[in-house]
Amino acid sequence: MQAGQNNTGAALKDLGPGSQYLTYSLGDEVFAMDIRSVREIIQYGAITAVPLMPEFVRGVINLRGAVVPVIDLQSRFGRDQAKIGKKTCVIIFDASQGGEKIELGLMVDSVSEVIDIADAHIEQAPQFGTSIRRDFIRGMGKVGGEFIVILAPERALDVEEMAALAERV
Amino acid sequence: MSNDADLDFIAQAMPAFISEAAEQIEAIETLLLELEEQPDNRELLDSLFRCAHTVKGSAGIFGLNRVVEFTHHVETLLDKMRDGDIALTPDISTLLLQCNDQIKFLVDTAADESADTAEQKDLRADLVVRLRALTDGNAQPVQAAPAAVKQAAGGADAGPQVWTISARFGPETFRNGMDPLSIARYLGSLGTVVRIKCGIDTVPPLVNLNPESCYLSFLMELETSSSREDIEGAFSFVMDDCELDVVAPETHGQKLVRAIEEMPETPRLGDMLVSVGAVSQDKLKEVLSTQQQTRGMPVVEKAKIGDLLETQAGVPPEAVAAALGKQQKLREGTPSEERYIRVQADRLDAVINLLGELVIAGAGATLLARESHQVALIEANLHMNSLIEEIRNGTLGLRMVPVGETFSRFRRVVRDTASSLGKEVNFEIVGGDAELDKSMVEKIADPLMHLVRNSLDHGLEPPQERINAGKPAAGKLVLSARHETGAILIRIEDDGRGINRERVLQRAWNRGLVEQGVVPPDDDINMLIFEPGFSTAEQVTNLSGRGVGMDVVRRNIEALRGTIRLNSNPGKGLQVDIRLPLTLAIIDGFLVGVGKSKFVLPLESVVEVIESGGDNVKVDSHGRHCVELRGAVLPVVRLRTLYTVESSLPDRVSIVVVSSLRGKFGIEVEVLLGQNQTVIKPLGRLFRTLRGISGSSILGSGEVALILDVTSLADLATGALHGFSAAQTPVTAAVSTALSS
Repeated sequence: MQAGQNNTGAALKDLGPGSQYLTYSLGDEVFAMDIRSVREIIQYGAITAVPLMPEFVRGVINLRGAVVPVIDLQSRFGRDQAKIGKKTCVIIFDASQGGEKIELGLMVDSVSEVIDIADAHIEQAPQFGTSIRRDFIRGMGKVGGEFIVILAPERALDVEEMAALAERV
Repeated sequence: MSNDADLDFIAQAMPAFISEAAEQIEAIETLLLELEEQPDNRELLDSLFRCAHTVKGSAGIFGLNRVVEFTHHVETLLDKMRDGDIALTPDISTLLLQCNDQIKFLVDTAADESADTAEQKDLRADLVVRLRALTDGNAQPVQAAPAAVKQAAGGADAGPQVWTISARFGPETFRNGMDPLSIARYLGSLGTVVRIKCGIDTVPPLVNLNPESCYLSFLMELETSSSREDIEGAFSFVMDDCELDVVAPETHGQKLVRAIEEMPETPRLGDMLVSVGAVSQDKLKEVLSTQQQTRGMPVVEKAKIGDLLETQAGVPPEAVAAALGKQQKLREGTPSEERYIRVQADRLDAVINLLGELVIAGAGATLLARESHQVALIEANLHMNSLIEEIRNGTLGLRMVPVGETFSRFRRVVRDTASSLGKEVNFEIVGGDAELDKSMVEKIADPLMHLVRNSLDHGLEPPQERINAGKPAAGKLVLSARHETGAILIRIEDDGRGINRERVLQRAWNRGLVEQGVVPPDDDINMLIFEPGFSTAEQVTNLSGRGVGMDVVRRNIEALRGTIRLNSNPGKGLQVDIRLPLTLAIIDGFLVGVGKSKFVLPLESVVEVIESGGDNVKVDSHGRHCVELRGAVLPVVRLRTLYTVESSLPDRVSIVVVSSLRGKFGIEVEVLLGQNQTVIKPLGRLFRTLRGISGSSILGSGEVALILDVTSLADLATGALHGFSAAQTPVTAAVSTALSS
């Protein structure tokens, strides 16, 4: 790691390669996702509900002329729909699959910060004890003595799977 | 090529051929390169052969003999490679790539014979020799390229009625029992041989010489009164294996014309004529000064230099015309083949997308202007909007192509299908110049093909049956297209037996599509043929009758926001009407509100709007919603209920009456927000299962509104495909009952 990049995580010293992660909160839990697929973060605003869709599809928004679906992450994890608060944000992220460009919005309670986590500090998801599906988790990142769930967006937000769920509604 | 219509057709289709051939040529190159990596890949070799064959075939249709001749040699080699006689070596690969370049050159210059210079001809001849060397099993390296026999022709001193004949015989000539000398003798009997020269440039060094092969060519000047046919007739037995060039005698004027055409770019008329020797420099000066005197006169009386040169300097009129033509071409700077610009489709799409944004932004600005109540601002915005609309129409026009190209593809299909079925048919195409968005044209081809085959297979009767029914033996099939208020109407019409309703109904009963004993109205019975898994053909033919297809046809057309309608006249014929929007990008919409949600209805499907108190919507004992409209019961879809929109029911609601494929029905909404132009934004894969909604649209305010698809909304409300079955929810029962009454 180059010296200049150490400002956020002192724990990174001599721990080999790592990546930057965006952390955000859902309820009282903190999650993280790889910053590279994040396009932008916008404030939660006017949203158009789309009927006959599963609860976790909150609707669509107008992102500078593009219509982007917004997913309620809480609800996707099988919990109650997220409450809309002052800090509610939408993370626009790139969920492109097989050459087709797809953008999705992720509704979260609040966005915290961008941190570095060394690969050496990421552990496998535990076999049990998590409240969300294990394949939704890429790993557990150890940050300051606490573990943060690093999301596997390609699984948790797989467009094909979500569309199949929509069919059953 | 017997009449003008054919020539016209060829001229129109030429750009399409060139662009298609260019794609094939590109594919050949890619395939060759791939084949180099995997020389044993049979599939690549097959596609390679197909590509070459396609180029040759379509060039043949357009009478581009140079392309056909040359490609034929390439094809022969590829065929041998397919048979395993010749393996692909890097040398052969290189040769084929060079040949491909030559094909490209020939196709590019298809419209302009003069671009085919002697140099290119030599190159081509060389390639042919090398190809032949391979295909004849004669793998010897072929040496020097044959020298330009043709060039000698240019320098020849040709008198009147003197034909220049250049013949290059193929290596097989002797083996085929032919003798160039006897041909030369025969030609001599037609007139007087002014000059004859034997070409020996292609004779290889002695070591490589095959005494049975012919390496000779001759150049002859023949003074004769015989026609071109007579002269070429002398070569009829060697034609397949001989490169023949018969140059017609030139008059003085024609010679000048040729000289002008071959001249490098010289902009001034006079200079052009001087340099080919049509007029002397002095004479030109004289003429020019005459013209000077007329300067200042009205344009009509002003002498044209061309006319003066003709009258005063005795320049042949055709030479002046040729020079003028050349000058015109130079001024335009664009030869005729550049009337088309090939643009990458995605660039055009990008522009159209931006235009969509502009339409939205324009609507937003207009909205703000209205709110500001400043008249000048509103007017400025209105002006801008009308400009945007013009640009929109112009840009969408760029994507428009005539449907005729797709239609004419069916000629062959109709002919082949009819003959395999033992039926006679007169196929007519009407209105092929009606234009449609390119992407639509591509997507409509398959459904149309299916419908055409269906008409041939099920609709038209065999000749004997037709005669018995008092109809002419040959059936009639008409494919027509015309524009109709923002849409295109494509009609497939035959004079066959029409739809046999009893049989359709019987089948529907058997398959449970309609409850036993229930007889829906005629039109509904006709539409049953579009249900999945429906087929009444007693026998499954290899053309149609498998029951897949008609439902796919309907789905494809509906996916294009189109509608399909049948007009069957039993015993007399069937009309299939397909109505398609002109473009997929923008529609005229009617904006309505339900609660906080806004929906756009395609304006073309809106019939009328009724205001009514909330209690005017009657709910009968089964919980069905309906209103009375001029004495008739109109089923109503309550968007609020159907889409579970949360809102308190207002006192007054409006009912938008829409017409759909399934009939008229009402949509209950709370607010009417008026007409707007709407850019369709597809909702993407996540929403692919969504029914009743065809897309989304961004309003001037930046909000997203959903676009309702009335046909699938009716389906959704009637419980989709179970329209005639017993199990129905209250809302759907109301709709389906009314729709089928």
